[in-house]
Amino acid sequence: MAVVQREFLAQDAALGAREIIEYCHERGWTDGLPVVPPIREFVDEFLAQTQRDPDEVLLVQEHLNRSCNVREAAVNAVMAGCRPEYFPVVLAAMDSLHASGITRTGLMQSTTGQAEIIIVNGPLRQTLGFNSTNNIFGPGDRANATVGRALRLIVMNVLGIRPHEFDQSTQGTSAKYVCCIAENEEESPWEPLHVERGCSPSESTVTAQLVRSDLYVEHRSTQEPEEILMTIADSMSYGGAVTQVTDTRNDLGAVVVMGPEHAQLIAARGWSKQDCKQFLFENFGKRKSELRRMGKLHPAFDAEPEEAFIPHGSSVKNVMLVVAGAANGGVSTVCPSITMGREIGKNATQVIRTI
Amino acid sequence: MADGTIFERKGIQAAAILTDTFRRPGDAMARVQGFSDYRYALITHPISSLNEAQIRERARQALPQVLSILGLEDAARQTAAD
Repeated sequence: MAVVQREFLAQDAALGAREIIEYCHERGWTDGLPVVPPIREFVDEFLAQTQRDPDEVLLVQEHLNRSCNVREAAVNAVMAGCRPEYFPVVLAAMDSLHASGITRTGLMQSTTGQAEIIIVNGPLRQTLGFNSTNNIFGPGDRANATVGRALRLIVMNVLGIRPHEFDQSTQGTSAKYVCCIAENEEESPWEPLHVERGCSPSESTVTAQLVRSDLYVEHRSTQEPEEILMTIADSMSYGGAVTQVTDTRNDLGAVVVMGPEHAQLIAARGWSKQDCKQFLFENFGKRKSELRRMGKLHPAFDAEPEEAFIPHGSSVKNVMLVVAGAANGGVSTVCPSITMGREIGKNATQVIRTI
Repeated sequence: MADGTIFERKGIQAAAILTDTFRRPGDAMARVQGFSDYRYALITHPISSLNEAQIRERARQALPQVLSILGLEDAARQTAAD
């Protein structure tokens, strides 16, 4: 008898949940996938994970007259399917978007269709179960999937940047559903991203940038650092990423997510992380003749010799290097970005504040 | 569109020009800026790939609309007739 009652209760609960899920779809509060109903009890569990005032404004999108406070972030973190203990990571990601200045621009509305990449570093990666190894950009790990999704739901529901209205992406990228990775600090031969950017190894952080896509890069048949890095630099420099600019040279950048196998092979030959970034920066660009063939040669380059190398970035700071993925193949990923090395991106690493 | 409405709020006359593909986000932007019936010039998309002659054609398309938005109706009619 008790079993039958439980079955009825479960059926009633499922029917009620589906009704709420459909309601959220009808109101346009989803990314197209079902969301968890954000009832007050759930939201309060999330707010209990932080000492921050629920009314504290986390970021402002001034030209849209929109802002997001802690409570609104919690509602969307619930909807995204986060566990309550993930909420401080969501808040740090919001801090990163604010501190980096990304939300002072209209970049999240751009026809270029940019997605937030969220990079998690430090001990909380393991405590909370963030994936930093196999299938780093793929599905299957709740912390990565839901924290990344929470950010996208906040952008859509709170900042109002939805497709067919303020989100003007021509094609967008699947990274706009979720793009949240953790650095594989255990198998990286170099200092992790947050230490490179001035934090202590014992701190846990989030670094957010905007990226246009995630581009597969393979080299399994060499141990030569220059050959691996030249392949990555060539992938950073692909013609489709180049924008013709008017009064300055291109100022593009990339988040390079290097697979541990590549990183270990390169480090074994004595290369530091900074050496890699310098090499990538120096080979990030195209010859004038190649740009001419693509019809992307601006008159500003008229005086240059035909075989001159035209850099795509203005500084080594335009290259962010993270080690993530499994140490099971010579594979890396390039995420083209325009938010590094400029004012935007400087303060993008923010500490995760837990109770 | 946001810049146009901000100029107007500061008392500076402005005319925003949109290509037709951006009509929907343009209307939405005007709404959030509190100008739900904001008038703007609408021209044919695209712009960035055009040559000089084609750009001049787009300018001819925009000009009477811009003059009308700025309250210069006679000039707008004359320009449209030309």
